[in-house]
Amino acid sequence: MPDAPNPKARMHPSHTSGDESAHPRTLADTPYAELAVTTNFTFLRGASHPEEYVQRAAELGYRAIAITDHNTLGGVVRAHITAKELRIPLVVGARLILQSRDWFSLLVFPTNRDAYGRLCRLLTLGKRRAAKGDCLLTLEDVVAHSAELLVVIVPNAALPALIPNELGRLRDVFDDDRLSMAITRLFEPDEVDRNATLAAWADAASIPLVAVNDAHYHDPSRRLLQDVLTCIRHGCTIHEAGSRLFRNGERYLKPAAELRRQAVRRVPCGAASKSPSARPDFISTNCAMNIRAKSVRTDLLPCSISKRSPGKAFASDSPKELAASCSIRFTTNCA
Amino acid sequence: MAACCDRAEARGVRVGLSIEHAVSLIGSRFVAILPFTPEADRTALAALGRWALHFTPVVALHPPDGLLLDIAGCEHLFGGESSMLALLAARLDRLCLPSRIAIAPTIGCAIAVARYHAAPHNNVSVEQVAEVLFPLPVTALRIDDVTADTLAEIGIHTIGQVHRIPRTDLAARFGGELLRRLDAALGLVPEHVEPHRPVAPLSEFHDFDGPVTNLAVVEFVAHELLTCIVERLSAQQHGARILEYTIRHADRTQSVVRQSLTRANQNLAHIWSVLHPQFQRLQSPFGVESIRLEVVASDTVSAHQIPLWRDDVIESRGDTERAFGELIDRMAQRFGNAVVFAALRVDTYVPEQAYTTRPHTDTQTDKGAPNQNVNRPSRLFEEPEPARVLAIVPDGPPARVEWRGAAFGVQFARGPERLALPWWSAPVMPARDYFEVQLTNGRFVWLFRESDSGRWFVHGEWA
Repeated sequence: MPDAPNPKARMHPSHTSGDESAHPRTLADTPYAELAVTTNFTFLRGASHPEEYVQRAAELGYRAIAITDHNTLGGVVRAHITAKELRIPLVVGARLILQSRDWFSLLVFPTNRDAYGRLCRLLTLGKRRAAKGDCLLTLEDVVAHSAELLVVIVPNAALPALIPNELGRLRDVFDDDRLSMAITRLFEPDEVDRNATLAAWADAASIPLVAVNDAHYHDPSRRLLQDVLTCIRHGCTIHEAGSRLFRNGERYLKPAAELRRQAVRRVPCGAASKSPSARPDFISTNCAMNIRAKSVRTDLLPCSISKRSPGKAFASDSPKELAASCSIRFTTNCA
Repeated sequence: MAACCDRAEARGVRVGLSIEHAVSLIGSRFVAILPFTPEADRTALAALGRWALHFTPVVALHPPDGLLLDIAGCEHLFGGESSMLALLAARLDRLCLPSRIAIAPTIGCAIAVARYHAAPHNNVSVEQVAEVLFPLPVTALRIDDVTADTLAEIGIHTIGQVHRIPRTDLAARFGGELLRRLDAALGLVPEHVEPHRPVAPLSEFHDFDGPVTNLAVVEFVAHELLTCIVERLSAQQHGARILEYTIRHADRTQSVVRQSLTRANQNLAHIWSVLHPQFQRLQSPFGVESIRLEVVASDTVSAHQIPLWRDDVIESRGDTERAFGELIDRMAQRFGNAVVFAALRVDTYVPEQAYTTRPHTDTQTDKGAPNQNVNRPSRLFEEPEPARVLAIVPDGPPARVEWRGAAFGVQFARGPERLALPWWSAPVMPARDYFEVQLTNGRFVWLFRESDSGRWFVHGEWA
């Protein structure tokens, strides 16, 4: 696979002052980049092509769009071609499904060419161990290949009680500069309480939160296709599928303003904040900051890095330095 | 086509052909075509297995058409292995069953030789095992088709060829199964016969000397039969689930008294208490000639002490379970089977379709118990009841609810849980946002908003 492309060679449309009609300021005010995107390169799960995601992300004025297929980088090439045309930053990444860790999966994003190589080697390692179409990775493997990777924990539906310990361990392994935890707003039952718990745990382990929408299709109309794919995966008819399908059709690329509205109102940062107040305070600056923090994390991703500071900023393996250079980049880009 | 006779085979008919093809090959109108009935074949094989108990107490079925007899220690009763083989063959011949028989030191070898050796009847001694086995095809080892095909692709057709491959390579390329089968056939690892034990149906029978018109006598005999049956069931640690009396009358008619129980039960007093009313309804103007009681279905129950007095303290879980079953039996008997039923969960997101009912005697249980961690109201209304609700648009929680002609404030609201309802069944229902809401009067209700119309409904209530 070629070196990561550089769509940032030209400025992202939302940064140019001229073309206000195409990208109104309101969208630029709510920087959002979808980090959990499952394309049809994750067989029988994703229901949209990578190009469609990128195109829709550009239309919605996202700051960037990630492609994170399950244990593969397959969708990246076609996403890159479209991203280059549309001049939207593409975040190359993958979603790692780990053995014997079923309460979470990991989104990993390489920050430079070397890290990308390491990620490829990691995936090769996992695929060699398993039968065709499968991938067998453990957390230890990821740790061994994790230098200069940014890692986002995506908790699954079922949360075992021992998560706080596990989170602490993950944080020790990945260092807080590179680790964050995803919070979703998919209108699942008890999601508000669940997110409050997760936020409290993440806070205790000082892991920053990011909002993701776990996109499985770019447009809500693709829910039908996604349901059918799920049925094919389980080898059942749609009448038997029941709870194996998704509960609703929220896993699409939503307008940033809509997501921001939901996230700001509902991601319960009240529980995460230090205030001992019993009343959950849904509106919190914490959350908004987290969304911005995510944009930090996307801005430093490989495409932008490779050309602007060719290898220099990341010559050191120290995550602290890495993070420092990231935040500088953030201020120069967005301030 | 599943099977054919030798004459048809001589004309080129093979298993797997279509009927038309087979008939055209034979080229004759006089072809007997019978339907293939695997179930009946199996029953017949089981019957033959029972017949084979003449020869040895350990008989196993080897479907579709084989029997495994463990004759160790039995052969001298028939004058040695060879004469036993001859006797078996002769007996089977008398039953008009063409047979292929092999006596061998290992199960694998016996099966391979019986099914694949050229001669129909063989007696293989310990020393001959390898010699006899090696020329046979690999399929004689009872391996799956995939392995056999793979072996054929690399030019390995006989067991001897397999044996010549180094063991480590075999295990690496074909897994442990092939090696295990080979070793079992050669007698290097032990293999056992799983004996087929025919179960006699549990039934009791009483023939009266003449027609009996006194129904009290019939009732008494029925109770006696039940006592015998319950004793036999208890000895096997079984309990009856379905009991059936067949009562023959003097006028050649018969009546059937059938009782299903919710849980397997071996409590005589209880079973009789649910059966008794049915006997009281029994009529026999010409008298009863005979009565027969059969256990149609039974189930294991854990051993328990029969309480001396009915109102003894119920202790173990098994006791609770039994007491629960008895309660349901009595309720069903009083109110009728139609009104007593059990609920069964259905794996779907649609609340209205999330359960179905089954008869209380049906043993079918929830499969996989979906939606376990989802809070659902204890009472779901038949029809969602419209309500007027004040809420933040577009998806905020309710703040004030007007329902059934009264207005309530909202103390607590949790949600929304968004359910997109099935798109594959017409009419397509709009998505719903469900909220768990506590009203100011203390009631917990389940409210939802229809996504397209924005109308609110109360769908259920936590009692």
